[in-house]
Amino acid sequence: MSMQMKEYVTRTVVVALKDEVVAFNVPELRERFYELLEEGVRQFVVDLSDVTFMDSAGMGLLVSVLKRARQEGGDVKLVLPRAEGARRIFALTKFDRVFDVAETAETAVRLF
Amino acid sequence: MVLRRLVYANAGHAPVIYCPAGGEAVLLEADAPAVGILPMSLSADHEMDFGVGDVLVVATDGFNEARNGQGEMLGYERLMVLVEKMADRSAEEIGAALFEEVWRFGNGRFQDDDQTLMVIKGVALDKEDVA
Repeated sequence: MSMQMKEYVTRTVVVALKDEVVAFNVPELRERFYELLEEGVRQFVVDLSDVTFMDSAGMGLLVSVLKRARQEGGDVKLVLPRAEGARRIFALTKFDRVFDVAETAETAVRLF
Repeated sequence: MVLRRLVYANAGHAPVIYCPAGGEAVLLEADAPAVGILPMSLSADHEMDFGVGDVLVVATDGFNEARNGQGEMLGYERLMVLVEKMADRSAEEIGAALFEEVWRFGNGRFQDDDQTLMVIKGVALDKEDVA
């Protein structure tokens, strides 16, 4: 008798953002996300718990990371902001229909 | 024949302010994410009355997200109050008042985002044209 085993390990990276995600800091954040994609990361949890505001550039950043991750067979899950104002942006733009969302990073990781 | 109906679809755009003549302003919110994010649009057509004196304000988020020196945002509520107050004026005057308000609120603070605006107002036609 013989038994063969193969093990596949899928990396999931939790990226926690803080304060504001706006046009001013989006280019730097995009660069960091793209570096992670280049390193082979395909599964992202973007933890927005401590984000107080996102403008349309911030939302665009999430979409661009999502598209690239999905092209490679991965995905992006979100932890929604705690701040009511930032949370409302997700409801108004219907981004909760684009992303799987969770209340904590631990829960979001389990969505993969 | 004039139907005075408005058919619209809001795919992920900032909420649109609708103020019926003599009434309170409300927000017409998106029912789907912006076009291009998902392979297909989930946005549906919506139809509503749009009569004489009704006002529709389509503004980019550079208006509601405009900030003052303390970092406070102008917000939809202030814009809605202003639209109600100006609703009996022309579309051009309403537009000018909105730009003036965002400038006054910002009080010299730099502009963070584009501010693009479209104001539509229902106007009366000759009687024979109206259904």
